[in-house]
This record gives sequence, structure tokens and C-alpha cells, in this order.
Amino acid sequence: MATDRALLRSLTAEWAGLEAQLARDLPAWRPAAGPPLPLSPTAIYAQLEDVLQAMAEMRPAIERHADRFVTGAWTLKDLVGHLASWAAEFRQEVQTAAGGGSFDYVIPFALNVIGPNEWNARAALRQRPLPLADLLQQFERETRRLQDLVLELPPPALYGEATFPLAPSGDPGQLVRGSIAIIALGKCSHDLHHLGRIREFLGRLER
Amino acid sequence: MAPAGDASPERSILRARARGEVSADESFEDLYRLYGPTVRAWLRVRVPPPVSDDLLQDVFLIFHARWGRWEFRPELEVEGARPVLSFLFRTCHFVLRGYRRKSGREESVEGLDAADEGGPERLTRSVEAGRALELARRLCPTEELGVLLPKLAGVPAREIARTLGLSEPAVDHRFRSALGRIRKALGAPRGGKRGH
Repeated sequence: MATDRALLRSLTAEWAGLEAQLARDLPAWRPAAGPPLPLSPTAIYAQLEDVLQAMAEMRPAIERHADRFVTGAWTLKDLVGHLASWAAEFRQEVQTAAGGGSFDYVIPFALNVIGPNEWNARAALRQRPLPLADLLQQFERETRRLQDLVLELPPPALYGEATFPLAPSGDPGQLVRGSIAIIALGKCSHDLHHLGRIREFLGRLER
Repeated sequence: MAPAGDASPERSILRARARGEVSADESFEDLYRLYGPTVRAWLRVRVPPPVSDDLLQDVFLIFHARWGRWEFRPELEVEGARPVLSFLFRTCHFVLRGYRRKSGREESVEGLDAADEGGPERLTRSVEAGRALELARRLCPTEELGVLLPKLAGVPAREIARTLGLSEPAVDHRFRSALGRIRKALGAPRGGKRGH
């Protein structure tokens, strides 16, 4: 008659056996030659989910410290508003590109800083009157809509090249050409960068 | 493969990488050899091949990108911490969620459906063969399996709780519930020391 302990021993031994069996013909993690494998829609979805969960985990601490300044000009709430603005922008860009549309605006990045100062400042002014809960909700809603788009789009739409209204060189004539998949991953990198800094900031406050 | 309860292989790789003794690619390959079978087993129990191996590739492609900018934080050096295994578990969980969404499957019914496959005869064969893991796969609802499998692989309870959005007591409850379900099927009494 098995006890919990004996049952656990049995399960653990079987688990080790399964791992050993699967180790024997473990596939190469990617082909030795050739271009890097594209990330599947499922993998892009997973990275967006990671972003959503990271924000959800920090939400209680963000609510406690929303009015603290993270830079000389922006509070933590402003930074959440920044993430929400970009979530809406990325989702809108993806939706427009997926529908074969074009853009009648450009977001030029400042040449000597990371990110488009002017666009960010305008977005911050627009978001500032909104309560924190609305900003968090906007961030989640837009990110989930992007997840839906990534899972629904056929591969040619997800991986095909399109022109987006981002001008990282600062020259409005030099717009980003890339795929929707790249834009979605760009959002993940953008968000994870800021969420990492927010985690550090909150860690210092609550140490 | 990852020996449960022993954090040293992962820690050795992380330290060697943090000190610059090995390249990012070499250390990634080491981690893939160490944890590839674990992630593959997690996936294989939940979804059939070849899909499980496609998802394995997804998990490690994501990890490869993250590994290039991995932050070697001192708090992750504490005894029992397995930051890479925890990251892989978290990523695996999200990839599975994406797969289910894309394929239109509801997460909550998968385990229950699996328990009905084959009926009592197959269940009896599983018990006789000493296949408690197979029994777990067939009997436990997805939410219990989602706790049991990372526990068996040595993912810290705190990281399981964080990934699943649960409290640690809730993780423990699901774990014990899974054991109870398997024990009941085996016709065994409750007993033994608590804790794993």
C-alpha cells in the first residue's frame, strides 16, 4: 500500500526515467546552418503573456508608489501611461498593416536619445489626467488585442514585410520596414526594458 | 537532465557565464542539454508529438533571446534558486497557453478529457505497470498537473506560484490534491510525512 512518500518516490523515479528517455534523442535546438528560425505565433503570444504577467505582478507595488518620480519629469504613473500609449500604438500599427493599410503620420525618434521624445511627451500629456487603473486597463486590453491578432493572422500577414510609421534615424523619410512579428517582438522588448527598470525602482523603495 | 533537488549544475553554468569563462553560445548549449529533456517532458505529458517538439523549440528560442541579455542578480544565487529552470517553466506555461488558444482548446477540460480515454481497463494496466506518472496525466485536472510536473522537476514552489498567479499554500493544496487523486486510484491509504 503506497503512502504519499512512497508515491512521490515512484513519481520522481518515473519522471527521471522520462527525462532520461527524452534526453537520448533530444533534437538539436536549431539547425546547425541556415537563417535563424522565425518565432512562431505561439512563441510571440507567450512573450506578450510574459509582459502582461510581469505588469500584473507589480501592480500592487505600482499602486502604492504611483506618484513617486522615476525621472526628473515623470512619475511612475506617467511611465505606466507611456507603456499604455505604446501598447495602443503598436496594436494600431499591427492592425493597420494587417489590413493592408498605410500610415498618414510618422513618429521620428530624437537623434541623440533612445525613443521619440516629442511623441512620448504628447502621449504623456494626454494620459496624465487618467486614473492609474484606466492606464493599467488600457495596457492590458491593447496587449491582449495584439495577442489575438498574432494568433489570428495567417503567416504571410504575420511575417510579410510592411512599412511602419517609425523613424528611428530621426529622418521622417526613413521609415521602418519589417514584419508584424518584428513589431510585436519590439513591443515585448520595449515593455520588458521599462518593466525591468520599474522592478528595480520598486525594489529600492520597498527594500 | 535536471536532477531534482540539486541546483549545482545550473549554478555552475551561470557562474561560469557571469565570470566570462564560457561564451553565451556555449553556456546556452550546456543549459539546453541540462534542461531540454525537462522541458520536453513537461510538454510531452501535456501535448502529443510532433507538436510538443515544436513547442520545445519555441521555449528555447525565447530563452536564447533572453539569455543574450540575462541579468545575473545576486538574489538569484540563494540556495535552491533555479532562475533558468524557473524561467523555462514560466515560458513553457505561456507557450502552452498560446498553443491552446490558437488550437481553440479550453485549458480546463484537457485533463478531465484525458482521464476518460481508454476507460477502467487502461487505468488498471497503468497501475499494474507502476506507471504513477501516466496515472497522474490521465486522472489529474490540468491545474493539478500544472503544479505536479514542475514540482517533480524541482522548480521552487515560489516560482510555480508566481507563474500560475497563485499563493504558495494554493500550490501546495493542488500538489496534495493530485497525490490524493493518484493514491485513491491506487487504493492506498493516506499517510507518510508531509513535504516535498
